[in-house]
Amino acid sequence: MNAILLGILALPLLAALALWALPIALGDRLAALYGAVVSGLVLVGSVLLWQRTEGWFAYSGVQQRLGDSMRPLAAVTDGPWIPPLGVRFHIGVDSISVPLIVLTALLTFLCCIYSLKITPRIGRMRSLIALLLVIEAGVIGAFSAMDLVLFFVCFEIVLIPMWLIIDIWGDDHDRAGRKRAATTFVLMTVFGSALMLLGFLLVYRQAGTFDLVQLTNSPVLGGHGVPLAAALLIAVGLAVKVPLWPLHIWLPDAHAKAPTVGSVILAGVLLKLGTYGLIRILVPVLPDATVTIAPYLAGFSTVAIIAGSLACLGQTDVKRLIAYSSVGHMGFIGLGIASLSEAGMQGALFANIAHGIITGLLFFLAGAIKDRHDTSDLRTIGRALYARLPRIGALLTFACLASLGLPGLAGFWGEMLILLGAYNPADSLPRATYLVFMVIAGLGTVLTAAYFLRLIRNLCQGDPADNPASAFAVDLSRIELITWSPLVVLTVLLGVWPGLLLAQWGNL
Amino acid sequence: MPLVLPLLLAVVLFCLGVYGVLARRNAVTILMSLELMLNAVNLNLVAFDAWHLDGLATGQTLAVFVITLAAAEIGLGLAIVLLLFRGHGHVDADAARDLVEHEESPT
Amino acid sequence: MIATVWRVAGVGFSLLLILIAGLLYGVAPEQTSFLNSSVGDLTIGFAVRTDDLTVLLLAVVGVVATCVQVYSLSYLHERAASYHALVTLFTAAMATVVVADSLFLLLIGWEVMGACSYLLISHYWERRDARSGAVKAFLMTRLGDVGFLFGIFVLGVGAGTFRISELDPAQISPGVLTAGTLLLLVGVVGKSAQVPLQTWLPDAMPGPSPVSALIHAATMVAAGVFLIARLYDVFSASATTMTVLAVIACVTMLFAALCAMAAVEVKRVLAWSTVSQLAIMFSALSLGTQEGRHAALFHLVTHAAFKGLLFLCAGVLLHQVGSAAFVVLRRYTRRGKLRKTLRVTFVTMTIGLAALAGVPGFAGFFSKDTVLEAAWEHAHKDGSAIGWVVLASVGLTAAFTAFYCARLWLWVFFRTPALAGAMGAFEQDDPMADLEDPDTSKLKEAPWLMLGPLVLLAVAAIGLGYVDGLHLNWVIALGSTVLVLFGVLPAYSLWSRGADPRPVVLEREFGMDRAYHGLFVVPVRWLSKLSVLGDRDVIGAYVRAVGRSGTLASQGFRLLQTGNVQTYLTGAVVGVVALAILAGVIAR
Repeated sequence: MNAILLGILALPLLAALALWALPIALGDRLAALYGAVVSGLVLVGSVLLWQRTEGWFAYSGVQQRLGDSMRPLAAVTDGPWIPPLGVRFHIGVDSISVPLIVLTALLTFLCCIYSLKITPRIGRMRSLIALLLVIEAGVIGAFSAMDLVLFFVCFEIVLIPMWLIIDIWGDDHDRAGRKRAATTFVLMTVFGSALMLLGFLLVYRQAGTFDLVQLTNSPVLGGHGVPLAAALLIAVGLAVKVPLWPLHIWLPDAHAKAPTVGSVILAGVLLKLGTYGLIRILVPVLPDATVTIAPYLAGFSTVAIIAGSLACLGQTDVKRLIAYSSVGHMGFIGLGIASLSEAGMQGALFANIAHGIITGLLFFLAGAIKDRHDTSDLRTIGRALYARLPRIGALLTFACLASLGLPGLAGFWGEMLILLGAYNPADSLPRATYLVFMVIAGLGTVLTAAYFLRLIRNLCQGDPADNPASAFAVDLSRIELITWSPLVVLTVLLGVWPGLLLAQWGNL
Repeated sequence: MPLVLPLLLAVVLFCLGVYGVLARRNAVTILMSLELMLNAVNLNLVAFDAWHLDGLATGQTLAVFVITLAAAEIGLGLAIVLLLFRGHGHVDADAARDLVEHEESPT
Repeated sequence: MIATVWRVAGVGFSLLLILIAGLLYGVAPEQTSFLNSSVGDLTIGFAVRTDDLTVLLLAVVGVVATCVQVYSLSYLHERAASYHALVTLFTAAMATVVVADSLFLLLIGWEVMGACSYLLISHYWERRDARSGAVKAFLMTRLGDVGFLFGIFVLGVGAGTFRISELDPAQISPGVLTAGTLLLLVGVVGKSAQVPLQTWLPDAMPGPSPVSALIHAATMVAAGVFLIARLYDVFSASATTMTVLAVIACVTMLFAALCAMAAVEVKRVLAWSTVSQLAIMFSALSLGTQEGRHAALFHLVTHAAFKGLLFLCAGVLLHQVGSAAFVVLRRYTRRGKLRKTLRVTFVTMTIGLAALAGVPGFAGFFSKDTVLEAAWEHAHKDGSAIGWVVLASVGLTAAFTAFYCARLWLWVFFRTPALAGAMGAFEQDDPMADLEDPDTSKLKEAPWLMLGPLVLLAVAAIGLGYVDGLHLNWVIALGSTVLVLFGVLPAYSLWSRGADPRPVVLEREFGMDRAYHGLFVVPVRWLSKLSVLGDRDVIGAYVRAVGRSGTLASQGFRLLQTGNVQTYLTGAVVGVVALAILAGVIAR
């Protein structure tokens, strides 16, 4: 069991090192194939982890004091790492991390498969694949870390490869733009993690340990003073990653300039680190301080929902639009966490997974459209995609409907549970405020629908006579079908059977 | 002899050296001023040794070290001055500004 | 190939629904739940049930869907695969709503219908009006659905269950009950296009006519009526909600009937009449009595038959003539062609209009009569004000309905003697009308694949009136017949004089569309611009400013790098001295 977890942590890292060590002659196809095999193995390993975890360790709602219902972690490895500082190499998984690990493994695997045929124009696939594998290892590490410092290290490991991916393989028409986007991304995220590290140190000063299991069982109590400062620092630091309005400014640029696989990983996996951190660290470790800041967190999340949706309505670039839609969706997740209720928490966890799947699909589609037209500007692409690329147009419509939260598809359940959580927040929170947030967030879903319909209208529909098909634009290729169908299937499956995930979390 | 006299002399010597290093233009003079400063320190060491009398004569030992060091240092320094003279045709410290930060930025 | 598969699947699925309805007929009501998962104290999952209401609605949906699928076989040729697939999905979603016992399963069907409706309205996505109509339909119903979702929360959390069969109004506190039902009502109003969320339905008409028949007449818009009937115990337990419902229904039925009186396109007239007829059903429900519920469901069934029929007839006109605008149809009519060539269509459409107008002997007459009777009973026996208001407005609406039906029938199919072949009142819409004469020789009757469903539905539009058993209150029947005459006579007299006065306020549909545009669409556009600019010029500016201040600072510090070693040393010495002094001060 713990061998599997160690395996899926070490395998991509070692594989990446091996890939760099290999002679240069390795072809692009072969590199992608190598990546696909490695990430496929990781996917298998992560699925094996799934079966044997149950319950959510040590979280039993904020109302009751934490720690009564400690459920054991699975796949634990615990050893000293930096003894003088009290830092341990402590990893393990429970039911909130396993789905995220599987999602990470799945998206990385799909990105590698996708790269078999479709590669950025710059080439250098060997390095790209290696960087993807490093990101995978870092993210899985962050999702399984049970030590604050280890979490922080894994959180940071992910950053540099992503920076390189945007900087090297990004939009090849706009060199200055992609450099700026990559730099903004890395600087803002590092700024956030610095604040988060300060928060961790404050926690350490108060509790004397970095160990998450111990911290969860005997949390840092008190809603004022040092715990409040620690909670604020951790929350702001993670909010940069989530990203929460108004710290979201790095996101649209980074997504718009990143290559397709980079966008998919960034949106599908990296953003989840922030929300996972909020659920894993902020809520259980600093329960009282979290209650103090939760209404503000909820308020900013609600603003993010509205501001993100409104900004989407004004976008003229497909990738930027989808990136901004993430701001709105992550706002929902923030609202769910800030409600501190079981429904809201489960909704946030569900929406995490659903957003990873659906936005991954959306970015794949946007990348496909961009590859075919050599631009992602709506005005240059033209309209009537239904006539030119009927299958891709239909899939885009499907993904948009899923993303706007149509019941029966995966996007709905998360948002529904979050709104339910906001309707019925934890007893310690001001209910009337949350009702206002709920209503505003509900209107946000209408705005979400509005911008996705606008996208469909401006991109897919229109008079084919004015927008003749270009000669090079081929419809859905086989590799795209193979890569996207798991995401489509999962979207529908989770939509009609939410219990698949909800049962995993059980009664929190 | 009161301790203060050699110390005062050392201060005077040191200040002369500092002045020479900071204000003189000729590189050889700067090196000589450097020697002045080192010797001021030597004087200090010897004076404190005589005052402290710890039996190991640490101060005097250190002074010998400093003299050795000064010899090595003056060797290197003169070599640099020689190179400067060969390259630029003068030994003017003010005019030797190869380390200046130019306006055009590398980034 | 794919199109054929979907055609077969579509027809097969709707026949299957009829079969299931037949099998379930008379079976004792039961519920089954599945795929449950618990979230906190609540259980979220799915459940289905069978009872009379389910069977009734399944049968209605099945029959109308079968007619529409068969009709579409010959009506629609381009993009047939996606069309039939979506219609099938739509039918499945409606069936889900009908059988659902879990509010969430119901919501899934409810919103999937909305999405299918959106996709089907924009079936002709080349057309601008289809695109904007589809977006409008989806957004307005979605706005209602947000209220619906919140209503589910309020009721579900209040009652501790999301199962419809377990919702017991006696165990929910009155405040929660009223709030919950009012919120559900928002969703119902959006879905059934009642005032004030009515403007999407007329704009949904650019979709293919069979879709209008299925979605915008017989099933989806009727889902609102179904929902209230399903949750009738809960709704009728809240007097406030019922009053609100009555007010909405009465305002809507008159509003929509007035709009229909001034519309100049067959499908638009029918769309407004749908809104108006749905409002009649709601008014019957708002009585809060079992008779009212019965009357509403009876009217729902007959309405599904004759409105489906009328939309399919309009589809024939569109298919054979190419347009359903009065002005175009008049060009054929003035040569006397339309009625003679499209004989079957003419007869069936006459039956449909007669049923809609409530001409005695047709289904619409009986069902409307039941509504009036229920209102009368309620008003007379219980002395309720709602009953009187409903009675009066349904009566008035009956007259209006008769007026616009007669107007539609006369102007589309008959030459006006007074005009001697001129276009008459619709000329001003099209200045070229008199010059351009259509080639009437190519006009021919539609294929039998399309006419078959028409005949079937026409039979239903007469016969369904008698299935409920004849129990007429002769006074009310006589009264409503007189009201119909009051409606028909002015229409006839106006037509025979060749006049069609259309008040501007009615033609603009009371300006609500424009008001909404000004109140909501324009501000949202402004806000979106503001948001984009705010991100770029405010939040982005701060981030850029941080970057720039770093660069500026580095440029400033670089100036110290003079290259003069002695300057550096001076700095170092000053620094050391300063530190030494500082150390001395601190040590003191």
